[in-house]
Amino acid sequence: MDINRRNLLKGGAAGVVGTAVTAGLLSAGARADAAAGEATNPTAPDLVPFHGIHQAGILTPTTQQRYATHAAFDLTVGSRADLVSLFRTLTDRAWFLTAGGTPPDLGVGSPPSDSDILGPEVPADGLSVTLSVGSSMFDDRYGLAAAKPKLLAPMRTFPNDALEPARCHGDLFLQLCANNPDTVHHALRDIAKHTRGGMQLRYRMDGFVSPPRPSGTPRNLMGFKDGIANPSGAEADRLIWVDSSAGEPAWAVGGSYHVVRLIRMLVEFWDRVSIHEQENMFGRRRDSGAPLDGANEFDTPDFPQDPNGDVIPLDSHIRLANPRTARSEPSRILRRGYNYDLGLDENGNIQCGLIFACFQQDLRRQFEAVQTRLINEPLVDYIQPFGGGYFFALPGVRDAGDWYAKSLLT
Amino acid sequence: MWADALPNLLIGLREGLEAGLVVSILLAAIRRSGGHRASTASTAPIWLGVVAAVVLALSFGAVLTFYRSVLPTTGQEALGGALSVVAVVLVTGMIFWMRRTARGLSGELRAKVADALRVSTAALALTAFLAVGREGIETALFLWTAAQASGTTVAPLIGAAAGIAVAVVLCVLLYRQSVRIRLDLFFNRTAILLIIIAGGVLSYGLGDLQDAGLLPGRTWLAFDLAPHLDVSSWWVSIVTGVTNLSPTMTWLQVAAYLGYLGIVLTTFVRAGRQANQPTADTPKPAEAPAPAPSRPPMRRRTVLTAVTAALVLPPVIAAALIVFAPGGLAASGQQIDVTTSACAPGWSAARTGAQSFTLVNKSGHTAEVNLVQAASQGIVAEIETLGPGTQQTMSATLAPGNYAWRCLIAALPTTVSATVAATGPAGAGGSAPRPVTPVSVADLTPPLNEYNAYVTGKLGQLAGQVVRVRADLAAGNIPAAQQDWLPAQLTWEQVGEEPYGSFGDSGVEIGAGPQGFPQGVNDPGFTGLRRLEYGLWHGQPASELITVADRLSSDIAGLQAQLPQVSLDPTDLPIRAHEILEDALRDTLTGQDDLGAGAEFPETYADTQADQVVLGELAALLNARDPSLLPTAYQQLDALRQALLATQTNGQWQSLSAAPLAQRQRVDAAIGAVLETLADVPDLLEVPAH
Repeated sequence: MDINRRNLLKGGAAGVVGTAVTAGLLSAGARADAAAGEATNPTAPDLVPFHGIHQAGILTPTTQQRYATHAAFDLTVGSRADLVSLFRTLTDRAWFLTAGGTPPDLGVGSPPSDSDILGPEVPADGLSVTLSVGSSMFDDRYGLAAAKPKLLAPMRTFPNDALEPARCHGDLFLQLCANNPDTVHHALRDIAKHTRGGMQLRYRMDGFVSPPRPSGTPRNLMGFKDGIANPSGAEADRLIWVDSSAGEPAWAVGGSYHVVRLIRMLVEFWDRVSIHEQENMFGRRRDSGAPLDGANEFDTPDFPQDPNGDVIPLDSHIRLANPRTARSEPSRILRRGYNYDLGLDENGNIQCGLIFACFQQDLRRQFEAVQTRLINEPLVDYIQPFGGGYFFALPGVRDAGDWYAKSLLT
Repeated sequence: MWADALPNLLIGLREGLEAGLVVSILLAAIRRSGGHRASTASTAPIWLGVVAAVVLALSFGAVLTFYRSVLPTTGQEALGGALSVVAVVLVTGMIFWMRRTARGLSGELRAKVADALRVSTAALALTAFLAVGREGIETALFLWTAAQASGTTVAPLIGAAAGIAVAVVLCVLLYRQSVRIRLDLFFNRTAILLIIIAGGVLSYGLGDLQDAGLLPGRTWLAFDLAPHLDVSSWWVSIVTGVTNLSPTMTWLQVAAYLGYLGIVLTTFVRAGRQANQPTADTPKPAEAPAPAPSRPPMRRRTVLTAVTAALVLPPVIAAALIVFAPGGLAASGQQIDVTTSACAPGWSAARTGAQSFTLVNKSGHTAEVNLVQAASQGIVAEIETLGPGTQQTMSATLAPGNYAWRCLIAALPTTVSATVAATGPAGAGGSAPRPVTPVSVADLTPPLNEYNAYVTGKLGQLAGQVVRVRADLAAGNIPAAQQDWLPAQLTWEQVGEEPYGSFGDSGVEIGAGPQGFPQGVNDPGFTGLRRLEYGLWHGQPASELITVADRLSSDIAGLQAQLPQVSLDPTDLPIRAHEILEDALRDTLTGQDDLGAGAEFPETYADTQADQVVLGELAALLNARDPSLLPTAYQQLDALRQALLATQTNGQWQSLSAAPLAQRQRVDAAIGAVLETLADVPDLLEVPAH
């Protein structure tokens, strides 16, 4: 009995220890696998809902997709009826591409309906399609002059701009964003194929968002975290969407003014600038993204405590762009920029920069006010806006019976 | 070649040793226990297990060879891992069972041992089966992947066979050695080795299960020596082969290995010490009955037969099923077989809507397979080349109606399946595309004759226009020559000739640009209309260009003389319908073809006329297949011509670079639209390859 009890105790103890060790090994392994899996998987969602009162690709998804193509088109449809069928086609393509699915079988009498770039099943892959219209669509071609959004006009030329006409404006503008570059390429090719004859690509820029380095807001190609102070939540809703109070046409409610600026960054020149000067031009620390008077990325700069700009220079980018006063508060914008890299210029310098994109309720009160404050900021020596345009992001496609600009065109 | 053989020699040696060690220990145990009894029947279960395992491994190799995708990687790992763990459990059990047996033997409990041996016939066979089977499947896998990787099968096979042979010799030597030593000593020595091997197998098996995703922790590595070791070197192969440890191990593998060795070795050694001290519960010899000799031999044979059947038949049957009935694996589609004598022999039911079929070519020849709608004899879906011994997935969307399969194999009569009605709701899975009736070369011959007659007329016109240019040059009047060059160029565009010569060399000499000549526009080989253009717009003297004009005239005369013989292949005519305008978009409307005249828009206009002629010749064939295509295409061609005419100022053509962006965009959009429509023409008018 005595021996048995001791054996029982010993056996029990061995069993407990064995079970604990095994469980520990398995759960630690599972945790390590999960961590390894996370590092390779994108965090953006795979399906961005297409239907809604606002278009996707502006406030949704909340984590900006990593890749985008920005494409301006000119309309070549001859009539208003053709314009309607073009917008219906665009709606159908955007809905299919953002939802994913099997492309239709056209049988043996036609080339395949899909390029198969994404394989036989088109994945949604976080694709958002955002369609905007330029002021030129409201000329005399389609009888839409009276319905033009109140503030929509061709993009102004600001004092430091070097605009190339071939990369400015456009009747339509498509912002395609997704988790992978092949997905945005596929979407652009699909849309262009299905709308052939009705609209013609005018210019196009592909962009990417860098991963957080090492954390927080992604960096631009100047090495600074860009987009830290973007509005979000209810505040963003208030600042971005056109409502009925501003005298805008009824069809435009739920849309948003969409500004695109193609801005070259002279990175070789920038890399020859001392860190002190770089940080003073932005008003933030390069490593952490903290304002010069703060310690952390998301600290709020305290401009009233620094009225003469001893800590954060008065002409620094963050101070001019967002002075954080009661008067400047309504001028805030939602930025949704992407880096671009186009290879080389004729001098052998790297041709890269920022596809600046922002959304707002009021072009003048917001983007133009901010850009006016930024005229002649010290940063202009290292950047060169050369293209882009003012557009109006259409209200969302609400449901299966709705289509882009339906209330404008019917 | 021998570089391919060497790794496989090592693999054969390693896997052979692993399997052989277990088998020889088992054999030695049996021999030893039965040695005094003159009966050798007791080794049969082991050989049975070995044979079954070899059969399994060969079946596995056959399956892999026939259907490489049958077992996904994770499946191979899961199977290998599970087999490994089972093998460890059994081997461990064997070690302790042998120790007890040995102890019993030393106590001269022969009868009891014989009984134990017979009772565990299945266990012996199973252990041998698992040990050899695991290594055999590994070897089959290794060999198969090595053969896939090196692209040859002979060298890897020779290497592996040599390795296995060496392993067998080594095992025999070991075995010979073992029968001379005392059984308990043998067990004491070999059991330790066996435990170490089994520990390695356990760790290896757990690693496989982790790779298969059945156990977590695949990425939680204890160490990774792979970057620091040459894994293919002979000594690493021997170390990893004997111990089964890999240069990269997870914590679970390390813990299992150390835990197994710690527990099993300790228990084994302690059990050995206890065995040397007589204890109270050691069975007395006299208490043991001796039932073994009393068993009838018939009964034993029945048991053996049953075990044989249980071990050998399943893998053979499974392999046969997999190899000869692959349809069971292609769960995603209905299987359609192609044989030399029959097309889709098993096809008996169809449903409407979008679906996929798995086409399996068992004919040994390359085949074309069509799914044909019975009423129209139109093709609904097709695979143009299905290689011998391969399978492909084909998707099709069927409307309600009757359908049959048609299999076309060169040099064999075409076979047609039974006609089957597709039933189900109309429009399920999207609207069904229109069936397309195949076109024959005979169908395309009249259009080609018409086209040749048209080209003959155009060449006559061209010859006259070149004569005028020559007269201008003879008069030294360059401006007049420039003015007369354009109609000649436009006439040539209206021919609709390919820039790289559907009419052979003569066509190239008349119409091609300087691309492809080493010295470009200055190359002596560059002649023809484009050469004239370059000279006329680059200040070259008339005297020099007269030579070019004369050469051009003789080239035109040469082409006129050869024309019907050098013309297009009839099957190329449907392709020209969209290629004429694709060439215009690619070469003319980009400005690439221009050598000074700036005639991009009138040239494109002439191309639309050529296209209209080709489409007109194909009209009957196209209307029979898609009545809406030509009206749409004609309308779009008209819109393109309107867009081109809109680039004129005061009735004069401008150059491409002078046209405003909006005008160019309208031209590009219009040509894009008509090209999307014309893309269907070659598909609708395709001549079957067989």
